[in-house]
This record gives sequence, structure tokens and C-alpha cells, in this order.
Amino acid sequence: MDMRCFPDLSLEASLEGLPFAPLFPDPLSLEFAITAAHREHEGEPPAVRELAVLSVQFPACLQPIGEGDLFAGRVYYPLVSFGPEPGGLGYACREGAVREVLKRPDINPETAAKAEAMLAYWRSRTTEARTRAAYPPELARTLPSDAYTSDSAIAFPLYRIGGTVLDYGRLIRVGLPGLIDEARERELSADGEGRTYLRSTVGALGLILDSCERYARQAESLATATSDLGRRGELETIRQSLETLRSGPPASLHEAIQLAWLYALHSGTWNYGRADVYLGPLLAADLAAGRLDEPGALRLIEGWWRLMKAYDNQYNNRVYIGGKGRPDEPASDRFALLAMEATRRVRLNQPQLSLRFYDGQNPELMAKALTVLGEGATFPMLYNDDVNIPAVAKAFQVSEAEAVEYHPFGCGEYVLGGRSLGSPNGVINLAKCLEAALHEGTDPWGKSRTGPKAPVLGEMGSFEQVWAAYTAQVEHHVAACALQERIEYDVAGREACYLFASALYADCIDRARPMLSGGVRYLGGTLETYGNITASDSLRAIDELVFRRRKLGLGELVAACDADFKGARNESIRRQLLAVPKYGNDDDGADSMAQRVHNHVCRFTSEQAARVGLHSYLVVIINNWTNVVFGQTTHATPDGRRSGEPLTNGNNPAPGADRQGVTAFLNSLVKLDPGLHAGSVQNMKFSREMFGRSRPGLEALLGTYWERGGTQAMITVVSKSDLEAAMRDPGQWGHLMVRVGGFSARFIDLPRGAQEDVLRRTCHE
Amino acid sequence: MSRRPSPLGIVFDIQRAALHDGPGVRTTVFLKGCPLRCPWCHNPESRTRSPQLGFDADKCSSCRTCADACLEGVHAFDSVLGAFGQADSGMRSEVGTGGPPVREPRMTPMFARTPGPGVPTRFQSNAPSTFDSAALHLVSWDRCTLAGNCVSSCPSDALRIYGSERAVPEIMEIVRRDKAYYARSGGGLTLSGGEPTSQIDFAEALLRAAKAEGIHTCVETCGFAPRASFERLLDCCDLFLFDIKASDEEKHRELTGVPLGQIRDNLRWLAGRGAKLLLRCPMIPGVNDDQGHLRAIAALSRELPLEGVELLPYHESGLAKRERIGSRDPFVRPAVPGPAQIAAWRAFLVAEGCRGLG
Repeated sequence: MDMRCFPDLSLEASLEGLPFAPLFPDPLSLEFAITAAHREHEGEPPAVRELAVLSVQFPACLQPIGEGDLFAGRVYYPLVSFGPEPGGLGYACREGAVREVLKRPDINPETAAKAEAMLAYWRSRTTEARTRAAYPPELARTLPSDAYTSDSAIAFPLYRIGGTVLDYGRLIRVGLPGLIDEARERELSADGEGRTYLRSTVGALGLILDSCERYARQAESLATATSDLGRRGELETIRQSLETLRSGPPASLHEAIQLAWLYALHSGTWNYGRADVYLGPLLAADLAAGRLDEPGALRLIEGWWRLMKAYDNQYNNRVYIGGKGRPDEPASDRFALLAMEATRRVRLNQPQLSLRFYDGQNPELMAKALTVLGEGATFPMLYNDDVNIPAVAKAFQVSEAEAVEYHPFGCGEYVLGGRSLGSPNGVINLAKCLEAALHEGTDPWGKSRTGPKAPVLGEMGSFEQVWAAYTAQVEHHVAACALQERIEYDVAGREACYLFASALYADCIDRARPMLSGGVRYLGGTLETYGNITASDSLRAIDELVFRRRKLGLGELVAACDADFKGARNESIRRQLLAVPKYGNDDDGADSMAQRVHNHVCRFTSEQAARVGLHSYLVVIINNWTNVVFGQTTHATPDGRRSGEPLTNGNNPAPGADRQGVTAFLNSLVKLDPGLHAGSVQNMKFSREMFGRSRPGLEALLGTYWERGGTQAMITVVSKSDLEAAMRDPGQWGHLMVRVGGFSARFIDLPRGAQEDVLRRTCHE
Repeated sequence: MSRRPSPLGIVFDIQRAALHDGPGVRTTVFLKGCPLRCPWCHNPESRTRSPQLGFDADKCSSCRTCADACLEGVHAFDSVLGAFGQADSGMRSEVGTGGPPVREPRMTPMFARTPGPGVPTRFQSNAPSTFDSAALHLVSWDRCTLAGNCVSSCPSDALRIYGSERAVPEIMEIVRRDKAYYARSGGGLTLSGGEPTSQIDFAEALLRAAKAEGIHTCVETCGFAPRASFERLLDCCDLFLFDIKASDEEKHRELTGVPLGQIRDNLRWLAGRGAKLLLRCPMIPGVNDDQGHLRAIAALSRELPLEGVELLPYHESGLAKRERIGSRDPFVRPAVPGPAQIAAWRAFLVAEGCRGLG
């Protein structure tokens, strides 16, 4: 039995992937079998077809229990697969990866021919292809490309159902057999469509029961084979938990994690809900009964974290602890503290542990978080319930009682766990909207036009006209993205039911409808915006230099940007642009423009919901690599940024632009209204000393930030590589403050010898 | 209530979110001008009251834009080749990796001390230059009239003017923005410099404006000012961060240029009037850290009702700043004290019965 672990969904991993039990040993044979199941059930109800495909996909894609695993559950997604997201949207085929396999020497001509036929079959049948085919011509012109990492355009679709946060609480409470019973019972009173859906749901849940049995048998045989008594005990625990889960709900911490984990793997979702809420009471019971001690519980959590890393999605894999709405706070707090300790020890980039808090919460939680962060961990991320809950209630138009269940998934988007969908299915480059507005609507890179024509520069004699041209570009593309999201949901809903996810989403079983066919309580969408601050700092520079102080002509400014500021005159223009105060410095001019850009895009986006028939459609301003990718296809901008350089990230100032100290930076952040959108991300770096000797100062800074409306913080400690980067490229590191002797100084202003000294000190800490 | 005219002050820096200039989170306003000339000063740009030019040769690319912009002939350029017959671009490769050339700070003036007024400082250009690879940038400080043309035209941000005239309302507009942080942390406004009492009208006006808004105030002072100045500050300064640099009259005069007696009298007077005082002690190895001085510090801590005693170990950042302003003030180059040295000072003080050592 092959016992290799398959850490990620990279090409290498999928090419190496071998099935759990040798069900499909020949290359691409699993993909052929999935394709056959799909083809054979063409024309049948989506629920039936989906179950047929899932029955082939699982258990074949489940991987053996790995060495040292404390729970059963590893997965490898085949190159043709079904799921909400991991292999692609719905029914997906990764053609590039298949072609790589076909290059191998062990592929015979028969297999190659079969593969070509398979690729041809899927080319028009993947859910993504069907979505793109459903775009009306006007939409297809506005969103011409799906390749946002390589093509140049203002906006792109994303194909996935992202950010599903299942109701793990319900799962743990009723267990798998209980969930099956609920579906069966509801089936009795459902209509025809509902009965079909629920019957398939029961079938799908049965697949998980089968997986439990297979893993239990594997655990047993591994236990027999090993002479390591400790390992044998761990495998025996796995076997026992799996047996229990086949007949009832979990009654121990191990059983509960095992169930949540297996369900997550089958469902193809990557966020694990409020773990301290649904695991805390079981942890407390285990500890009280002496079945487990704290070190043992910690080991289990670390083991779970390692499996999440193996499942590997650095943009998701979120676990939530803390916050309001936890019925048994003391038990939940115990779990939360252990979770943070596990993160402190298992220093990986996943899971993305997220700590929610409120004024009055057990202070041990925040104290632990700051200690863990001060040691250089990049988690937990911090979320302020006192601001977020009312903001979510306002943005999502729900009661505060429902808003309590907000979950920041993925890169920072909010969703209501177990009851709302808010898949981020569009990305838009606001800096490129301004670029188009300054080039008669045309993309200076590709020379194409996806939005309205903008006036000739000479005709824009006031800032308001430039603003109008900018907003016209934004609105055209936002409206297109909203329509695209609606179409994507419709097509994905016609194609499949997402049986596993729907079963743990309100109100699918109650309504006897899958999530995208009327089942989910709140069908919302989100739009990822990038370069928000690049755009606002640029608009501010135009307003200030061209129209208020009349130092530059608009044509001159745009020409300088188009020349990437090359040449003495253009360099001098760039210096003038850089000298206009930027967002992040508590400057009223810069910050009010940031507010104007923010309010406009947030409001216009949320107005699209009613137009396209979604419960909500909201902006998210988040933190991933897309600001770099988009920067590569955006020319130099009037904030002084050079062509190809990254755009601003999340709600943060341009790199190094915040030079007035951390209070000024925090003051700027809280000026952007969080009640208008579905999540933003703010990055902050502090020197290690702030977590040690100056900890009261750090707590005062953060405490005031939360009090003044701060929603969220991703805090990291200044690292050696930060300092080295600042020495190489000081222009981007103007915000970095370090402690020297008895005072703090801006690192880039220090003489070289002092910089090297700080660097040396940082290495030794 | 008489209405005082609102005075202007020469301010050379404002630092928000300062954590080491008094309790809590503070905004520190740095006033220009100081009557002392301590050779270890880490803010040499603060000594003279009037604004002055600063030049960072590390950033200079020898583009000569400043020479063209300046009407007074402050900036001039000469070729090292001409002066010494051998070009040295000042560029070095990354050691051992064959990586791209890295700028190393080889900025050194041609003389250890600029010999007297009128002679320009010569800086060897450091940055890779498009003009010639071995240029000397000569700065004639005394010719500068602070027009600032070179500052605004320099493409490399190598030039600046330290100090500008500011009004109280302008400063308060910045200070009051962080009131929420002060409230939560016990922070507030700190006046520093330079020596704040050297601009007593402005300092007092600023402190009173802060107090009127309920903001906590600190003043960092060397204590060398007329009694009347401290009388004016007594009811608008919540905490004095009071420096003591030496305890022997002759040594004090030699090091700082001013007598100790007046400083010590002011300290005792303030203590007697119930002012809150934190004693701050710059510790400069081999210069002022003799046992006599440490003993005297311990004695003061027992004699006076102080909030505490803090050591300020020497650090070197002042040296580079001296070069940047062509300073002709005396200076020392002691060893930078490590943790062992600092621990030794502290142990000695404790053994001598020092109270409140923080």
C-alpha cells in the first residue's frame, strides 16, 4: 500500500499522485472513469449526475494515512474533478496538466487517443466553459479574458465557489448518521425535485461513511504492522474514532476533529468555522474526564494543523477562534489558547488562525496572540467584533444576531458562516480604471477598450471631469462583474448541487433545494478591488498639482507617466507627484480622496445586488499577490509609482508612503468606513521590541486603533529580510521604524553602520 | 487674563508615536537651539537656533543639479582624478556572490575636522553616477542663504533644510490628532531639541496650548536656563526629563561649555517647588562615566523627590549627522557601550544606593 503524502495541488503533486487503494493504477484512468460517469448521466438531474461522479472520485482520490498523521484524511484532486473550488469550478478539467502527463514514456497510443477525446469532451462542458459561453456579447467584450495573471485588462472573472464556511457546529452536534436522518426525513415531505436532491444528498453522505470504513481498516492494518507502541496507540485512536462516527455523533475531541476534517476534504472547502465553539465543550469534557490532558490536546491540534498544511491552500485554510456569540466561553477559551500555542509551535503558513475579540473578552486571549506574534509567527490575524459585527449587519443588511456569525475567509472576505455565500468571482483594477480615464478609455498596453470612451485630456478642464471619467470606467466594469457573478452562480447551479456543502448550509435541507438553486439563505457575491489607494493617491495628485495649484498640465502629467518618468523633466515631475502627501499620514487631503474612492466603489458595487438578483454584492479589499500581478500591467501612475511596480495592497498605504509614524498610519486606516463592504485587510509591522519592553505602548496603540473603528490587523514583526530589503531599496521602506539605543528612528535615515548594527541585533533576537 | 502674542518657534522635527520621550504614546516636538555643546550630542543639527542646510552624501549621484540651481555657489564639483590622479568610484561588488554592485557608505570628508570657517567640506560621491565615476561634491556651508533651490531640485533627496518657523496653532493641529492614544496610554506632548528653554516664549505657549486641551506635557531639558524660564514652565509642564551630564564643575564646563552650578540650582529649585522630575543621565564611556559622577547621581536620587533615574547609554548616530551639516563643533568617539557595560553602571549605582533606577 502506497503511503506517500501528497502535499499540494501543484502539477508535480498531481503527476505523482497515486490512488489510495489501487483502484485506478493506470495514468489518467481515474480521469477517464470520472468522465465516463459524467457522460453516462448526461440529461439526468444534476443531483444524480453529481452523486455518480462523486462515487467515482471518492474514495479514489483519498490518500493513505501518512506517517505521523494523528487523523485520517489526505486528498489529491485528479485532473478531471468535481468540487466547488479545489480542482476548479464544478466539473473541471485541467488540460495543461493532462498534456504534461501525455508526454510521459509509459503512455501508450490508446491512452493518448482516449485522452484527446476526453479533452475534447470537456472543452465545452466544464462548468467554467459553460459559464463563459453564457456571457451575453456586451459582457464578453467588457470581460474579454479569463487570464488575470497574464493578460492586461481592467477586470476579470474568477471561476469558483469560494469562501464556503460549513455549519460544523451542526455536523458535530448530529454527526453523520444524524445528518443522513435529517435528509431522509425531509425527503418524505419534499416535492419531486427536492426528493431527488435529498436522495442524492443521502448517497453523498454515505460516501463519507464508506471513507470512514476504508480509513478504519487501513488504520487497523497499519497498527498491526508497526512495532512502535506509541504509533500503534495513535492509529488505534484513529480507528476507534472512525468506527464511532459511522454510527453516531462525535463524543470526544479526537472524534470531532476527525469528522470535521473528513467532511471538509469531501466537500472541497477550505475554511473550518469557529473551531473553539464546536470543539471547546468536547475538549473540556475530555479534560474533565481525564481522557485527555492539555499536552495531548495540543498534540492533536498540531496534528490537525499539519494536515491542513498538506491540504495546502495558503489563501484559505482559516480557523476561527474568539469573539462574541460563543455559548460556552470558558471551554472555547481553553481551546483557543491551545490553538494559538499550536500555531506558535507549528510555524507554518497555514492554517490562517484568526482571532476575533471584543472589549471585555478574556484578556488572556489577546495577550497570548501578541506573544505569539511577537515571536515572529504571522498568525493569528486579529478581528475586532465591536466594529465588525455592526459593520457586517449594515453591509449585509442582516440583524446583529446573524452578523455575529461573520467569518473572514480566504484573503479577508466576510461571509456569514453556514448561511451566506459570497464567492469573490471578480477582480477589478481601480488604478487601471483611472489609467483608462486618462487615455480616452483605452488600455495603453493592449490598445483595446473594454469600457466607455473617456474625454480627450484637453476637454477635462476641472478635477470633477477627471473624477467623472474615472467613475464611469469603474461603474461600467463593476456592473459587468455583478452580472458575471449572477451568471456564474446560475450556470454552476444548473450544473450541480454541491451536495456536501449544501447539506451543511442553511436552509438547503429545510427547503429541499441545493445551495445555488434556492437553498442557501443568503446568496451574495463579492468583488475584489485592487489598487484602491494607488488610484486615490493618484487622483489626489492630479487634483492638487493640476487643478488647485496649477503646477502641471494634465497632458504633461499623463505624458510623464506614459514615459515612465524617464528624462530629466519627467523625473522632476515625478518628484512633484511624490511630494503630494499620501494616504497613511493622517493628511486630510489624501485621506479624504481615499474616502471618496472607497465610498464610491463600495456604494456602486452594493447597489448592483438588487439589479442582478443577489442578496448582496459587496467590495472586498484584500491582501494577496494580485496587487503585484495587476501592477505588472499598469503603467506609471500619477502618485509617482513606476510602470510595472506593485499596486497598493488591501487598505494599506503605498509601500513606504506612511512616514508620520504609526499613530498617523492608524488614523488614516480608520477613516475608511467598514460598513460599506465585506472585508478589508490592514498590514502592520512592529519591531520585536514593541512586543517586549514596549508592550504597553503596543497595547495602547492597538487598543486606541480598535476603539477608533479599527476592524482588523495582520501584524508581523520586522524581520531580518525586511531590514535587508530596506537597505537595498530604501524608497519602499520609509515607514519602517526601529529602536536604536534609547530612541526610535526611521531605519532608512540611519547611517549604514547603524543599519548594520540593527540588522545584527535582529538576527540574534 | 492678558493675551500674549502667539510666538513663532524654529522647529526641526516632529515625531508622532514616540514611546521613549516620556510616559505612554507621545508626540515630540524638537526645537532648534541649545546653549550647550556636548561632544557626544546625537542631534548636532539642533545646536544652532537658525535653520541650516543638510547634505547626505550617501544619496548624492553627482548630477550637479544643485550646483545649477543654487545662486550662491554653495555646491561645487571637482574630479577626484584631478586632485589625486586615481579614480575610485566608491562602488563595491557584493562579496563572494558576484552579485550586482552595492553602494557602500564610503562617505568621508577629506579632513577629520573641517578646518575653520570658509573652507568647504569635500564629499566623495558615493552613488553610481552617470556623469563621472569619481566626483567630489564641495559644500560651502557659510554661503548658504537657505533659499532651498537645491533642496527642491535634487532628484535623489540628498539635501534638506533643518528647521523651519512654525506657529503654535499649526503644531497643536498635529498634536491633537493623537489625543485618543494619549488618553489610553498616559501619553501627551513632549518638547525636546536642542534645548526647549532656549525658545522660552514658544515653548511656554505650546505647553499652555496643550494643557488647555487636557494634554499631558513633558519637557526634556539640560537645565541650563534662567530661573525665570523654569518659573514660567512650572505650572504647564507635568514632567521634566532633566539631564545631568557631569557632577564636577570644572569637568562640566570643559565638556558642555557651561557651568554646572546653575543647572544643579535649577534642579533643586524645581524639586523644591514640587515639580515632577525624571533624572536622565547620558553615559559616555571614558568621558563622563567616572565613579564620582555615578556616586553623585546616586546621591541626588536620595536627596531629591524624583520620579526616577534613567541611563542614556551613548550611541553613534550623531556622528553621521555631523558630517551632513558640516559641523565644526567638538566631538568624541568613545566605544559604544554593550550590555555588560550598561549592567556594570547599573550595578555600581545600585551599590551606591541609587533610588528609582529605571
